[in-house]
Amino acid sequence: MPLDKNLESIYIRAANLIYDLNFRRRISEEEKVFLLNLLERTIYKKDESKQLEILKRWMAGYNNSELDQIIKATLLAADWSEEESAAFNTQVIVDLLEAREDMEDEADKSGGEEFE
Amino acid sequence: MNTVLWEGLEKDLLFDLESERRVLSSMMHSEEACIEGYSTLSAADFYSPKHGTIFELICSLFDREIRPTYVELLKEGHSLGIFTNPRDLEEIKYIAEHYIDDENVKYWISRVKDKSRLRKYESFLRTRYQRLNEEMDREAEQILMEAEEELTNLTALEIDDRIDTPEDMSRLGYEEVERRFIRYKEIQEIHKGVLPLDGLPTGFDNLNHITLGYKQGDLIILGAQTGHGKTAFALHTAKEVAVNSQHNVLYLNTEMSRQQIALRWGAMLSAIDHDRIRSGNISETELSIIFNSYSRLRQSGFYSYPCPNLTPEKTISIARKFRVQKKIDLMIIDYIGRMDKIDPRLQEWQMLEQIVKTQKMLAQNLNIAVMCLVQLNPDGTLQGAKRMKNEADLLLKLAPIPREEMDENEDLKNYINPNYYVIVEKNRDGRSGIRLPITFDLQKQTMKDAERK
Repeated sequence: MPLDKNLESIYIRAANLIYDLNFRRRISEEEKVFLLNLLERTIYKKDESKQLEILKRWMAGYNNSELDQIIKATLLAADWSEEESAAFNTQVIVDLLEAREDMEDEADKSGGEEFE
Repeated sequence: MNTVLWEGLEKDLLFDLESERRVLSSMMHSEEACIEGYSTLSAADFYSPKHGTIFELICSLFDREIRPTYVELLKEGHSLGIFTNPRDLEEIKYIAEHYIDDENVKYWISRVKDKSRLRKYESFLRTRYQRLNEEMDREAEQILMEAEEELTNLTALEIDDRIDTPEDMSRLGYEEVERRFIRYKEIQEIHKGVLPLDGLPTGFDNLNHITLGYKQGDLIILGAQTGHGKTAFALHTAKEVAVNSQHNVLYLNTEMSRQQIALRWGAMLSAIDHDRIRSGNISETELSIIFNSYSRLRQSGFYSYPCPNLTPEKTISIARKFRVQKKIDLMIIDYIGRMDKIDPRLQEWQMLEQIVKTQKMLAQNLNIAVMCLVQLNPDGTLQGAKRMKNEADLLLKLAPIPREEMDENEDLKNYINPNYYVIVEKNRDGRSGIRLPITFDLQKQTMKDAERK
C-alpha cells in the first residue's frame, strides 16, 4: 500500500537525514544501516513498538556509560529482521537496561546516605 | 537548418522525463507496477542514464523479493557504489517525493517505450545520413535494401521478437538434430531403451513415454467432470514436479481454501485417508507419519496461491512475479471455469477461449509449462472444445472407466484395479487418441499408472 503523502515526505526526509549524517561522518556505516532499517520497519511494517520502547528507555537514561556502549553494540550487531533474533536481542537489551537502572538506584541510594 | 531540425526533435519527441519518473515512482510504490515495468522495460528504454540506473536498482531488489522502497534503494545504491554523494540522491529523492501516484502505469510505460523506439529511429536516420555521405560510391539498391531491413526491425518488431535468418535456422536445426542424436545414444547405452524426458515429469510412466514430459512453453489442458478428480490430478502433478523432482511450481486455486489444500497434501504424502485426516480420526502413530510427510512438502518447490477472484490479467501478473522471484517451471490453474470475466458481455465459450489464449501466450513468453484445468459437460464433452484444442499442446481428459467397459474390455483385465482413464486427446509432439488406465485412490488422493498383472 502506498504511504500517506505526509508520511511519505517524513520518511524520505528522515532517510536523507540519516544518509547525510553518515556522509558527513557524524554517524558510522553501522549506525546508518541500523537507523535506515529501523525507519523502514517502523514506517512499512509498523510492528516495532517493542524496539522503539526500549530505544526510548535507553535514551532516557543515557550517560555514555560502559553499559550504554554494550547496549549500543548489541543494537547495531543484532539482526532485527529475523523474528527470533529480534526477540532474543530485545530481551538482552531489556536485561541490560534493568542492570543499568539497578546501578543508578544503587548510586542514588549510596549518594543519599552520604549526605545524611 | 539541419541542426535546428534535430534540436527541435530532441525537445519535443525523443524523451519524456515525466513519464520515466512516473514509471519509476509507480514501481517504488506498487508491486503490480513493479511486475509490469520489470516485464516490459529495460534500462536502455530510459533516456536519462540516472533513470536507467534507478530502474536497474529496482529490478535488482525485485529479483530478490525486496520491496524497492526509498530506503532499500539507498542501501542498494550505496552498497554497489552508485550513490557516493548526497547529490547522487537528488533525482531519486525528487521522484519519490513528487510522484507517488501509481495509477495508469501501463500508459506511462507505453510512453517510455514509444520514446525509446523513436530514439532508435532517430539514431537510424542519423547513421544512414552519415553513411550516405561517407559511402557515395555504393549502389543505391544496396543502400536502400540495408536501410529497409533495419527499418523493418524498428517498426515491426518488439525488442523480444526476432527473425531467424537462414544461418540461424540451419544452426538451430543442426543443434536440435545433434541433441536428439546424443539423446538417442544415451537411451540405448545409459537408459537401456527408456526415453529420458524433455520436460517435467507427469507423474505417470505411460504418459511420460507418450509426451516426454510437460515442456517449457507448453499449454496443457486437463478436463474432467465435477467431482472426477481435477484437483487430485493437479496436486498429483504438483507432487511429482515439486516434491519428487524439486522443480518450482505455482498452484492457483480458485475454489479451495488454504486449509483444504494443506489437508489434501497430508493425505497424498502420508497415504492416510483424506476423510480421516479431515475429521481428525487418526492414531498418534499416524499423526507422527503425517508430520513427517509434511517435511517433504516443506522442502519442496510448491507455491500455492488460493485466489477466488482470479482473472486472466491477474494470472499474467502473478506468473510473471513467480517466474522472476521463484523461478517456477510450471503453473497450474485449478480451474479456469471459476475465473472472473473481464467483460461481462462475453459468452462462456468466448471467455474460455480468451483465457486459454492468454495462458498459451504466457507459457511461451515466460518459457514455463502451464496446466489449465477445465470442467467437462455432463456428457463428457468440453465447452469450446475446438478452440481449446487449437491452443493446447496437450489436451488430456480424466474420466472414470465405465463399469460395463471394465466387464467387457479384455485388455483392462490385464491390469490390477484400473478405475480411471487419462485420455490423450491431442499431443502436438506425439501420439494421441490413447487411453491410459490409471488407479485413482479417492480416499488417499493418490494416482498412479495401473499396474499390469
